[in-house]
Amino acid sequence: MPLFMDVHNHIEGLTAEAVAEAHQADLKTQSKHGVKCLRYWYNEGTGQVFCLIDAPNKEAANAVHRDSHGLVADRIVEVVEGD
Amino acid sequence: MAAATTHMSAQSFDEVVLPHLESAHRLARWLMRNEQDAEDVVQDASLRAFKYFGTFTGGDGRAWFLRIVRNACRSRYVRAPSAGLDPFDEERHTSTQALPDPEAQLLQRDGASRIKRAIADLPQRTREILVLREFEGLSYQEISETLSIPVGTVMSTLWRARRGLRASLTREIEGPGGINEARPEFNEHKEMIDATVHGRA
Repeated sequence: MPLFMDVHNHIEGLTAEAVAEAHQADLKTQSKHGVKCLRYWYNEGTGQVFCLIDAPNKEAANAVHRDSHGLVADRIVEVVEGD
Repeated sequence: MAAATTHMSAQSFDEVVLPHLESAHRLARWLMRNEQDAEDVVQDASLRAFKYFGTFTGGDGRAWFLRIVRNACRSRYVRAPSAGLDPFDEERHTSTQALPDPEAQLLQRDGASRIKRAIADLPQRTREILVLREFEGLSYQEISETLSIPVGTVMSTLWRARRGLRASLTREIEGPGGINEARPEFNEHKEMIDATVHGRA
């Protein structure tokens, strides 16, 4: 399946615990959408979050966030893993 | 009446507020832990919502109304601080969903009661966030707007609430006099805890 990297530009009050909560919610619903939320990165200072998602398409990658907690990404791009 | 009928929005008071009365009652019961107080709070909140309906600018009516309910609960705490300290009534909050097997039904009721007692023992802010998320299904953003707190605070509070609940429930079922891990019902309790404590899905 294609890989997608999504970007959440600013989540106010973001902490490690906060992003872990959202990731757990994603893991609970991901199978319903046929996606796998693989990894995430974040910056507490800026409130940015980056999620790497294995999904059949962009819509499915977005849907898992919408369904699990409602925080949809501001941007999502298809990416390829380098060697 | 005037506030509700002169509102410029295309939505009426009946459309915005009335569909959420059940949610309002559930939230008030969890926060007040007393049926009579919960009813009073919802009545008070409904009157406030009607009076100030002109301030509703559209969007999510449930979050708007639940914010009023939550504020009405807080006002009541201030007027009668003991209101939220009544013993938790398991019957009021226990699911009535039937199970085919009476033994399993007893087991589930016992597990559900443990979970509900543990939730009732949470600090008020934590409890209201967990209830809005798990029982009312509000998104992080809706909870943030309802409680006027940053969305990240909603998320981190939920994370800590789930971990705390899991730890206290696990201690309870594993502890002296609790359920032995070797017994089959241990796993059933664990599954129930996982389903309730670890998110809606």
